[in-house]
Amino acid sequence: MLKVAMAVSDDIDVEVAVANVLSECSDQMDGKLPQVGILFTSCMDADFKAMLARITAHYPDMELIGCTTSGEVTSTQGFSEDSVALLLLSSDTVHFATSVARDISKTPEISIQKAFEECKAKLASDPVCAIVLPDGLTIGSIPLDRLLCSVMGESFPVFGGLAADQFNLVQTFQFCGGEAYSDAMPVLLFGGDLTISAGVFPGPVPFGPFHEIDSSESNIIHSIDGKTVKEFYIEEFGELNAAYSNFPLAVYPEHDDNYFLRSPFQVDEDTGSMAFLGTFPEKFRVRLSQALREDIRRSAEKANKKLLSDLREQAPELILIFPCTSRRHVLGSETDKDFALLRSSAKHVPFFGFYCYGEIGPFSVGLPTLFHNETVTSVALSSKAHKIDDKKTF
Amino acid sequence: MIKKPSEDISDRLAEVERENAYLRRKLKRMKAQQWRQEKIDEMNRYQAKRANSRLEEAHAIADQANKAKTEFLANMSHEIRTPLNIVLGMGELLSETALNSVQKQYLHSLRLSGKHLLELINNILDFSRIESGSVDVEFEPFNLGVLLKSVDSMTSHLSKRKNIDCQLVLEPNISHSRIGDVGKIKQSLLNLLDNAIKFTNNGGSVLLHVYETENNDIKDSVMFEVSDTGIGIPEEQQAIIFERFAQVEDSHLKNKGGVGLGLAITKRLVTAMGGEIDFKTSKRWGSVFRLCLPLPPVTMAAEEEDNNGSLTIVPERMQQLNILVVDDVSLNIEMIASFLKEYPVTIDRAENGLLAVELFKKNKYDLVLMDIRMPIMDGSTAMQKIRKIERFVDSTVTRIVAMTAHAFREQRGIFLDSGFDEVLTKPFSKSELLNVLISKANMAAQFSENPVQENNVIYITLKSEPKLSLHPELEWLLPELVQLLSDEAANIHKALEQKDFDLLAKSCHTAKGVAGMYCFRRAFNLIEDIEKNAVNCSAEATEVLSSLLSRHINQIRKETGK
Repeated sequence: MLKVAMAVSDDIDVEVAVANVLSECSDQMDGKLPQVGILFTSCMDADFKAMLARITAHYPDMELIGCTTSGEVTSTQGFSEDSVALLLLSSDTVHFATSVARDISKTPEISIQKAFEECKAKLASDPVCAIVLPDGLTIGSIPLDRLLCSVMGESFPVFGGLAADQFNLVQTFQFCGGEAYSDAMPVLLFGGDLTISAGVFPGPVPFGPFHEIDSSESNIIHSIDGKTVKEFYIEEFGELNAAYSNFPLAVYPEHDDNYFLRSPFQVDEDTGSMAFLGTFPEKFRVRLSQALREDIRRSAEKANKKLLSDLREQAPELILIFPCTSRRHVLGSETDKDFALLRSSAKHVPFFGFYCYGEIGPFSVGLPTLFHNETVTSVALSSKAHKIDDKKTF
Repeated sequence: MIKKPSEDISDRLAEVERENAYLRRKLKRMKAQQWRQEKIDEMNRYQAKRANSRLEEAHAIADQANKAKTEFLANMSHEIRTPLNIVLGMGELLSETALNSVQKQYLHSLRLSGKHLLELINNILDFSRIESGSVDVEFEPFNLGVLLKSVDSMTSHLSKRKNIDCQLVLEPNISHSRIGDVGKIKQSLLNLLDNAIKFTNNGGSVLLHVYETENNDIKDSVMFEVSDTGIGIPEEQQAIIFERFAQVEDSHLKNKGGVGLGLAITKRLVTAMGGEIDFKTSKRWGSVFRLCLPLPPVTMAAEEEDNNGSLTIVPERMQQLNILVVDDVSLNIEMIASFLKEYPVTIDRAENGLLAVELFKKNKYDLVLMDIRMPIMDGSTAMQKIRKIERFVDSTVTRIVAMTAHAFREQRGIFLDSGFDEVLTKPFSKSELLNVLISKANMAAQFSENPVQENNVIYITLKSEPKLSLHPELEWLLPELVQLLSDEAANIHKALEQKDFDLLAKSCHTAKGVAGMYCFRRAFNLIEDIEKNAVNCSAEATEVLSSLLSRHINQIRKETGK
C-alpha cells in the first residue's frame, strides 16, 4: 500500500510556504516516515537551496527530487502558481530510489545511463517505472525519448515533464536531494509491488493542408514550403509575436497517418529558422494547429474521463499529471477546468503534477516512451495489494 | 527578546516590500497572460480567415475539376456508347437471322457481354453523378402497380434463366396512386432484385413484397422488401456493403459480374429520396433488403397512360410513316433501317444537320430521328432550323426525336427543353425504337379516328394537348385562352403559397371551368387532381401537382409560340 501525503502553499513568503507544506504533510503521514518526496515550485525567485535544505533537514533519510514549473497541480487545490507543492510517499511493498543525470545537454547518453544505473543499484527490487524531470530549456535538440528507451529499455515505462520557469524561458532548476541543478534530469525509480496505467491526451487539433519541410535538423526547422519558418508563421498568423509558441505544428512522419505535436519556442531572427521543444524525425510533413480553448477543454475532459474510467478498474492510490504550459496560456483564467472533473468526481484519489515544457510517457504501458508537446500526460500508480473500496468511489 | 519599535517597523516594511514585489510579479504575469490571450485569439481569427479563403479557393478548384470530370465522363460515355450501339444493334439483327446452335451460342455471349458493358458504363456514370451531388429528386404522380409490373418484367428474363422463382406481392389494400421519383424507385428496385437474383443459386426464390408501413421518421412510407434464398452476406462485409466497389466474395460463386456499385448507388438514391434502407442476412436463409420510402398517396382524376413497353404494334395495322434519319455514322442508319424493314416506313437519310434541313424543306416527314453530334451542322441546330421553318411555312409540328449517346438525365432535360419531342439514348434496342414509332403511330391513329368534318371544329394539335376544341374562326383567340389558363394557374399557386386549402379548392374550380370549356384536357385533369387533394388538405400532393401544371402550361405556351 502507498501512503500518500500532499500539501501546497502559495504564501508570499516562500519560507513560510515550505514550513506550511512540511507541517501539513507531516500531519498526513500519521507519524510514518516518508521514503521519497517530490517538490514542485513556480516561485522562480526563491532560494531553492534553502528550500531544499529545510525539507531535507526535516526528513534527513528521505529521497527527494523535484523541479521548477509553470504552475503546480494538486488534488487539494487544483491549479496554483507562485506556490510550493510537496508530495511524500511511503510504502512497505513499493520501493523508491532517486538519482540525477547532470550535464544532459552535453553528454546525454552517458549521464542518463549513469543516473539510471545508480538508481537501479539503490532500488531493493526490479524497477517498474521511472519518473524523470529534465531541464526544459537545454534538451531541445536531444532525442530524449529515444535515449530513454535505449538506456532503460524499449518498453520500460518512463513518465515525467520538462522543468519549466513560469515561461520566462531563462533558466529552469531541477532538484535531487539537497541540491538544485540546471541542465540536469532527476530520476525516480519505482520498484516492487506496483501496477501502473498511462494516458496521453493531445489538445490542439491539426487543420488545413499539409506543408512540406525543405530543411530541418534535430529540433530546428529551417524552411517550410520554400519559405523560412519565420516567414511561414507570419504568412499563416499575420504576425510573429510571443504567442506563436502556442501554435504547435502537427508532425506527420513519412508513411505515417498518426501525428505528434511540436511547439515552437525560439526564432533565429537572422536565419528565420525556428527551434521547437523536441526533435523531429528524418522525413516528415506538417500541418498547422489552432489554439482553441474549446479543443483544450475537450481534451481535458477526455483525459479526466479516461482517468476516471481507469480508476474504476485499477483503483490507483496516486495519479501523477504532467500538462503542457501552453494549455495554461490558452485556458487563461479557466486553467482550473483542466482538472475540475477529476477533482469533483474522484475526491479520494490524490493527484499531483505540474505545468511543464514537454511531456514524457508512453501511450500505454508496454509501448515505447515518447516525448510530447501540448498534451496532458499521466500515470496512475497503485500497489497490487490495494483494493478499491466501492464506498469511496464516485 | 523584546524588539525595539524601530526593528518592528523595519520588519514590517520588509514584509510590505515582499508583498508588493509579490503583487507586482502577479500583476505583471496577469498582464502578460491577458496580452497572450488576446494575441492567441487574434492569431486564431487570422488563421480561420485564411483557412476559409483557402477552402473557398479549394472549393472553386474542386468545382472546376468536378465539372471537367462530368464533361469527361459524358464524352467518354458518348464515345463508348456510339460503337456499342452498333455492336448491340447488329447483334440484335443477327439474332433474327438463321443461325446454327454454335453460332447462336457465340452470339448470345456477345450480346450478353455487350449488355453487361453497357450496364457497367451506366453504373459508373450514375455513381459519378451521385458523388458529385447532382442528384435531383423529381416528384411526380405515378402508379405503383404499373411501376412494379415494369420492374417485374425487366427482371423476369434473369430469373427465368436461373430457374429462380421470382414473385411480386403487392398488398391489396395499398393505394396505387402515389407521388415519388419513378426513375429512382425503379432503379433502386432493379438493383436490389438484380443482386438478389445474382446471388441466389439456381432453383432458389426471390420475393418482392410491397406494403404500407408505419415509420416515425418517414411520412406515408411504403416498404419494398426484397428477400432471397441466396448465399447471404458474410459478417465482415456487412459493414461495407453500401460502400462503393464492395462486393460479396464467395469462393463457390465466383465472377458474379458488376463493379460493386449497385448497392452504393441504391443507398444514395434512397437517401436522396428521403428514405431508408437496411438489411438482414444469414448464410442459412439468405438476405432481406428493406427499402422504406416516403410515397404520399395522391388522388388522381385519371390515370396517366403508360407507354413504357406495354404497347405493341402490328406492322400490317400501322399507318405509313415517312421518316428522316439523320446520323453521320452510316452504320447507325443502316441499323435503324434494318430494325424497321418489316414496317410500312419510308426512310430518307442525311449524314449531317444541314442536309437534313435541306431534305425537310423539300419533303414532308412524320418523324425525324436526329443524331446530336455531327459534323457541319449538329442535331440541335438542325432541329432549331426545322422548328423555324415550321413556324413560317407549316402549322403542323413534326415530331423530332434526339438520338444521342449522352446518357445523363440532365442532358435529356436540356434536349427536351430545347425543342426535341423525345430522346432516344444510344445504344437503343429495336423495341425502344418501335416505342418511338408507336407514339407517332398512335397520334396519327387518333387523328384518323376524329372525324374532323363532322362537328365542324378544328383540332389544333399540340404535343402536350393532343386536341384543343376551337372553331377555326376563333383560332385567333388561342393566345388569349392560354393567357386565361395561365392566370387561373397563378391564382392556384397563390392559394397554395398561402396554404389556404379552401381558396385553393375554389381557384381550382374556376380554373377547371376554363380548361374544360376549351378542351385543355390534360390541364383539366391536373387541376381536378389539385382540387381533390386540396379538399383532403394534402399539401405535398397539391404542391407537386401544381408544379406539374406550371410545367404543362409552359409547354403549351412554347408549342403555341405564344
